[in-house]
Amino acid sequence: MSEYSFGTIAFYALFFGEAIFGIGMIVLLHVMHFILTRKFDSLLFKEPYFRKNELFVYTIWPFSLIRTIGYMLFLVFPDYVKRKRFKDVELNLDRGSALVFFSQLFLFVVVVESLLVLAMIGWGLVEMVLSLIRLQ
Amino acid sequence: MGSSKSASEILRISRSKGTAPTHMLKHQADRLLRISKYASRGGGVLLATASLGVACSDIAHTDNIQEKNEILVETVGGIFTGTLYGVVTGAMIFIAATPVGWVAALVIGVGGVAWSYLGGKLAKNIYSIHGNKIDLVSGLLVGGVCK
Repeated sequence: MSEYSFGTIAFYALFFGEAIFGIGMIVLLHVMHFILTRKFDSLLFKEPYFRKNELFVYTIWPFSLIRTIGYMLFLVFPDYVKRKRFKDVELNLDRGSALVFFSQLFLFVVVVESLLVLAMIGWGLVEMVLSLIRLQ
Repeated sequence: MGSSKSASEILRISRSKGTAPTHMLKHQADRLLRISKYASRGGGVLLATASLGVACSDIAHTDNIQEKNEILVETVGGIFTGTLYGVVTGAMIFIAATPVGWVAALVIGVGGVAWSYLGGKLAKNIYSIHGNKIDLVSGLLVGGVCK
């Protein structure tokens, strides 16, 4: 244990955490894209919920993933997203359904990944400032 | 069509002859749309593969172990910072119900590249200070793939 400093352990925890949660985020997003677009496109991917150019742009990868992220937000925060975009849409989904669970899991992974990336960026900026001070 | 009209005049205003070019144009437009979708999809995959390929080639062509590891850390940090930026921006655009025009697409693209660059460089900087010279390239078998 004494072989490695706290900085070394913290760096590798952040690095591998970022990589594992990042891969998880990408895989989960694509799996959910496959499932949710097949399930909800006929109901939601049309006017007036999306504008004309959105209906075109959101069919092209990687922008098509934005509509999957939107569907997942809708499953997790139905009232909020309904107010913002899907007015008058009733999904009648069970709160304990697998789709809701995996959408919540995706958002959890995104939050953890954001914290890890922000920690890495913040730490990197501090190190950069410290090395600039040392140089002077 | 009265019999008073000449054959060429009848041909010129014939309904079937009039609609044929439009049909061809529509067909070509649909074809272009289809091609552009495939091109975009292929382009994205190509860019991701190219960026990994460049990193792999850099690792293979560098003799210094420390530099190999710095390239690996920079690439991994860059990829995930850029991807996260894309996901968060996508969610914000969806919630804001702002249609993605070319300008918004450009902002997403440029922002993603900028965050990716920043994330990669800062991760590399921390590795060079605190990485303790641990050889990730050999440990993660990256050296075996990129040689």
